[in-house]
Amino acid sequence: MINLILIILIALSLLVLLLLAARRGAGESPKLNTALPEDSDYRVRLPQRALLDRCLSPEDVEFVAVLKARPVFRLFLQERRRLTLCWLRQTRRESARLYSLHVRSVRHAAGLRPAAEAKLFGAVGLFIIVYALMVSTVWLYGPFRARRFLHSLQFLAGLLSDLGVRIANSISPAPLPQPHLGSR
Amino acid sequence: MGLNQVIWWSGNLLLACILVRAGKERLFSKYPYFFGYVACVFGSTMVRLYLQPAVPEPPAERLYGEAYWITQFVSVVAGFGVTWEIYSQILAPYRGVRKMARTIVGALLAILMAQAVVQLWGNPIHLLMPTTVEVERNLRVVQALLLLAMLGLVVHYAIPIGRNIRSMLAGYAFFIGCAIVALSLRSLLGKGFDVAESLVQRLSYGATLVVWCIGMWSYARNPAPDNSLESDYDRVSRNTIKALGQLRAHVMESWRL
Repeated sequence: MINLILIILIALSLLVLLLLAARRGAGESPKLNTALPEDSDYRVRLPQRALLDRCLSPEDVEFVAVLKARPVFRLFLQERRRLTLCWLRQTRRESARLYSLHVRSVRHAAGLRPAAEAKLFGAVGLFIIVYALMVSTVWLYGPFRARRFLHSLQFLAGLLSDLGVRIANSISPAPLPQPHLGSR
Repeated sequence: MGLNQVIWWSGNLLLACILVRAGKERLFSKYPYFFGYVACVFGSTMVRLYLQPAVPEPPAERLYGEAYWITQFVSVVAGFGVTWEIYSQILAPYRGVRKMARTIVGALLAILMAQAVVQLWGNPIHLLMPTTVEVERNLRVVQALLLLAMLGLVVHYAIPIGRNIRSMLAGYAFFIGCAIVALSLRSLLGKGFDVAESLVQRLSYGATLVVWCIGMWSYARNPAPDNSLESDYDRVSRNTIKALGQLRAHVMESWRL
């Protein structure tokens, strides 16, 4: 039964890809997008860090908390969550833009290397996973708690890394036993 | 004349038509593996037609049965040639990738053939039918996966392909998709699905032959990639990796307190 499901999935994927290939083949002119992008196209276009800092500023939280109005505080949290998610979405869009720029530029290149492409695809995939984790954390816990959570994670990671380095340094390098070439 | 007969004769006519057009347009040398497969299927049909017993007699029926499974085995193995033709034509400008694909495809075919030889060892004629069915199913699944990978690359990189290869790819992927689903349903539902399986296979093969007949009517050169971009691949890759690194660092830094 599992085999059958797998095989039906393969067949359906074939059909979907055939339709996609047919649609692209019909809609695309061969002369489009053949020019190489400029180096400036690869400049990362992201909203400034200051914008996120402003969005997650503790002063604003204190100011709203002082008002002691629960609906206002809830609205404030909702708005900040929405803004943070927008900021994160922009990073995902930027990674998609960079990758599609790459695909558009190398698709005609005769020297295309599958290993390099797979590595790049992996890097983009990893970024998307990190993005999805961050979005879920912000969505579930809100931006302020998510930031504290990420900060404590970074702190713990730093501690572990320091500990690892100290352990590695404390182990004195012992000489390896020399083989006795003459004896059996 | 029943529906099966109509499908069978139309299929033969289409096969003959593809071969005649290929001869006229001199396509044999351009797509040798593909036309090798088409000629093999056509030859198998002719052998079966010649050996089909006019009156049901046990020796003649046995001879036909043996010939049927031998020609089926040869056709199934030759079908791998179509997949290789698609790979070889699409990847022609990319020598490194083509070499890698040839190694992978060759190794897969060798493994499946070795498995078939081991199974046939001892009593080849008696074991021909179950072995051929198993080889067919395995080969079709492997080909489906290979075609899936190729279609994925074509869609992802928007690789330009000519009319001939497009029809080869579309027709064969459709046929293979239908064949693996029909063969799996046959193995799940048993002999009760025999008639439906045969009809699905014949109809899908008929549709494939129509697509091939239209697509291979005349020669259509595969669009060549722009070689002027070849030297810039390293620069483009480097730029993308650098930009993605910057993006990652920017996001991580932005979340620090």
